[in-house]
Amino acid sequence: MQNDIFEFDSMVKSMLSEAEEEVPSQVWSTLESRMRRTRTALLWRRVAVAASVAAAIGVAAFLGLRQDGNNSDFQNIETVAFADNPQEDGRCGDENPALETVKTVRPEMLIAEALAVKDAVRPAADAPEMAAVPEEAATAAAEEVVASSGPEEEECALPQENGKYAEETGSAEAFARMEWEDSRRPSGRRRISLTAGGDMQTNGHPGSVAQSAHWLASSHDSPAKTTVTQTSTNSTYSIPMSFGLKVRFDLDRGGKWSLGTGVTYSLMERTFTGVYQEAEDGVVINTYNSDIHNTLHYIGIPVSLYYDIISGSRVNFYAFAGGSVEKLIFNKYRVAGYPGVKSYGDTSDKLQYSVAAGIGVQFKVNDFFGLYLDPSIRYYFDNGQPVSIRTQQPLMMSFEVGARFNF
Amino acid sequence: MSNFGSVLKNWRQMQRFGGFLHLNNQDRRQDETGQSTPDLWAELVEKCRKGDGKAQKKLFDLLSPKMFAVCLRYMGSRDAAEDVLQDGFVTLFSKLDSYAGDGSFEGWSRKVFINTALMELRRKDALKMGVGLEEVSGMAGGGATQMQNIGYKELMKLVMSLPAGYRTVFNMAVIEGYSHNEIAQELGISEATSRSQLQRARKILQEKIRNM
Repeated sequence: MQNDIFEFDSMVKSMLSEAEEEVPSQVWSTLESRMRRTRTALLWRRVAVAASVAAAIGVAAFLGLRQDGNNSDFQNIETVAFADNPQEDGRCGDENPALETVKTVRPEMLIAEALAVKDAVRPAADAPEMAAVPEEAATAAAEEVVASSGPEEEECALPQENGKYAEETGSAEAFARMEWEDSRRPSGRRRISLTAGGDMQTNGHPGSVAQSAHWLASSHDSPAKTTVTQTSTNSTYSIPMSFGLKVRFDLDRGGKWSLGTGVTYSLMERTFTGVYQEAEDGVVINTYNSDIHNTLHYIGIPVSLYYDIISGSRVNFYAFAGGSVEKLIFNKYRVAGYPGVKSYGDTSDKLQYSVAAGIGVQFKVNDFFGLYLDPSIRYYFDNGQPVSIRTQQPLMMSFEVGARFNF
Repeated sequence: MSNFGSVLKNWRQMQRFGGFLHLNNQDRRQDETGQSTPDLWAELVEKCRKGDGKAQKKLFDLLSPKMFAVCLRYMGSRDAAEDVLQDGFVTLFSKLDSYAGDGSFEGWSRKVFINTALMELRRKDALKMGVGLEEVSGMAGGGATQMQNIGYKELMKLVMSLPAGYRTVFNMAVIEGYSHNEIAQELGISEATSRSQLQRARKILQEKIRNM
């Protein structure tokens, strides 16, 4: 009986093991299209990785150059401004004696500070921590893009060496290590997308800055320093703008949840009336009353969680929420109307945090490219930042538009 | 004479009905210059790794007939087999770097397609070990087989008509040569279940052959 079973199996195997079937012609054409799309997606994925790494290196290099630059002009700068709502959160700089710049002061401290000069601006080289953050975060994001290959791959249990085809291949172990990527399958595929966009925020109702008192009087006991002081209660704020590169990758097979991160650059400008006091060797040499133009540059890393509400063939609606960590990399004051007057700048050691939430819509041009619009509400936490639209109007509407490339 | 004996008696007659198509493959695996098979595969694989579209087409032409037959045996329908064939080639082309060159490329490729088929069957939750014992026992015994009328195509259809669970175990055990321990690990079943599924598959096939 056993011999009969063995013979039956052998007979069936001999008929079917090397059998061939005619393959329909459309199989190759469909396969070719899929592989072409895969090659394109792979190319864009590499471009995305390279762009993220290049952006991170560029940011790190820029910060590094800023730290190594000649900061002699910054040594004796003190920038003083006033807020309408003095905080208890240490914005006065009391918590950090090494803080180079007093951004806001309590009114009751003005007279005391008029007699005592604060520490000079710390050289930017002493604030290295932000230099590493964008590079690390962007590199981590880039590594995520490279490493992300879909959901948990299944490892096939191979026949042991005594199996029929194991002896043919001789590489059962190597085959067992192969990871099956569901990204190759039409269903259950996790997407990665790269976005490039910019956003504008509202600047409609900023708070006022309290006017100063006699706080510029030089002390006989302390050397005078160059200061920029706002004397007007209001500033004119330009529309804050941001630009960034982000990577977004699905967290689940269904593509409902996704996580996005990247690198952003923000620019804010304001103009106010103030006094520029130029000092040299501890002695005030010039004082100008003028319009002063202040420009702030931030580099940040946003992190957002996305949820697809409606995913159609042409339009996607989604909700998102997240936050951002930003570092002031350049804060420049330029005195208008006086040729030859230098402009001064400083930085802040502290980071600016913000949170945001919104609803977005993406219009798909094709499977790989779409345009998106992300209106959101964003709140900025001050954390010792120089006066800007964000400190005066921390709650803002933001409108981000851009292009999204899906892989 | 037992049923198996009847089948064996007509084995040579079955061969005449085109069961040994592999004989034609040997000719097709040589190119015009008469290059040997291993060299041809090595050259093709290397070109495919570099993304050579023509090489990929040639590799597809050489492998697809046999691999399509494998997919048909596992999936049980032509539509599903075509999907698995495509998925298998996408996977194969993407995994060429993991082929170390030791062992036959065709054998390595076969594993790719078998695993692709198994993944698809799992995804469809089709690997249910169904058919009650009472149905199987009803098929036991019977008259002489009509094996002389069974050719390759008929046998393929019979195998494709098996329930998915039986079909998978039968293909893996009888045609691919997996042991029951390997099948159990691969499918997440016990060895005893694998053996019983194979026995049932044989009985169903035997019954269907006899009734043709």
